[in-house]
Amino acid sequence: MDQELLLIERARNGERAAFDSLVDIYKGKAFALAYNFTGNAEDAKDVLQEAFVKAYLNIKRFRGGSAFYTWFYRILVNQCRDALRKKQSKMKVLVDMPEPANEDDAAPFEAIENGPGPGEALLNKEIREKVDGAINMLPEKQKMTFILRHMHGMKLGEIAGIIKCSESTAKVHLFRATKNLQKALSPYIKTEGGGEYGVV
Amino acid sequence: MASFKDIMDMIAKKKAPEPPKEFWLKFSRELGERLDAIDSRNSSRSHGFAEGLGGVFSVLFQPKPALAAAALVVAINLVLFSLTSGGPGLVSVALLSKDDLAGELVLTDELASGENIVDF
Repeated sequence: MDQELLLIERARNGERAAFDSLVDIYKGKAFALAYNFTGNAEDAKDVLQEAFVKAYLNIKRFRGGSAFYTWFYRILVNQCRDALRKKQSKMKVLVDMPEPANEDDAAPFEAIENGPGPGEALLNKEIREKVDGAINMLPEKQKMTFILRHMHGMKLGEIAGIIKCSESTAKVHLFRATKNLQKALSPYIKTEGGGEYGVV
Repeated sequence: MASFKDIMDMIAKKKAPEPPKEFWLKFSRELGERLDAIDSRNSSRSHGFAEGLGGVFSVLFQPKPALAAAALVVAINLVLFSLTSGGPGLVSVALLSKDDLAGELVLTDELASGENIVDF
């Protein structure tokens, strides 16, 4: 951690090699986050590059008031949001265009799931697609909060710092996101046994 | 059919793909080129500024009295302008009304507290 602080300080002083090291530290996790937001590798790559460029241009303005990763993730999340908005407005224009013949051609590599298990048989492809679709349909802040919490394991305090809101507001976004998902996926959810999935 | 808990577990387990080595090589190359372009733009800007400043001083110190005098007049005018007007767009707080002064203080406070909370 101390070494990271040193790198940040050196990068703030204009040392390019130090910034390159920060890129190496964060690029993996940041790519995963960008991928979860954008849904494909190419867009994730573009968004991530843009975020690093913005971080490089603004690193002198980072004064350690928050953790570096919170500061950088805030830039990244804003980039993802902007990219999604642009994509959505493009989609409106291209709504009548046919789908690509083979979606695999557009994706250089596929999302993977952790570990095998009998549960996978139950959660078939159709449900997975519905889940992805339902997450994508969530309102912006709910989607951000949900992804940061449930796909990246962040604490509410960290999420609040990234999306610039209070912790209680982040909690409300998360609660609503979960409720909306539950509603959207209700045809695929078995109701026996009761008990709603609570928000942590 | 699955329970909602199963679905939430599935979401938590779902990981973004691990990009292959070639992806990161291309990524680093492209990012490096963009950062290089920023560096060279910045260095040419500061180089240009230094050259301009050097030009003024070289005129001041060269043995041509007319040019030196003109440069001196320009420099004095610049200093006087900044002293009397406080520079373009700046107003002394002593000239502000109480309401305007309060507004300035609130703005200054907000800027200070928003140090790391910047929209990019």
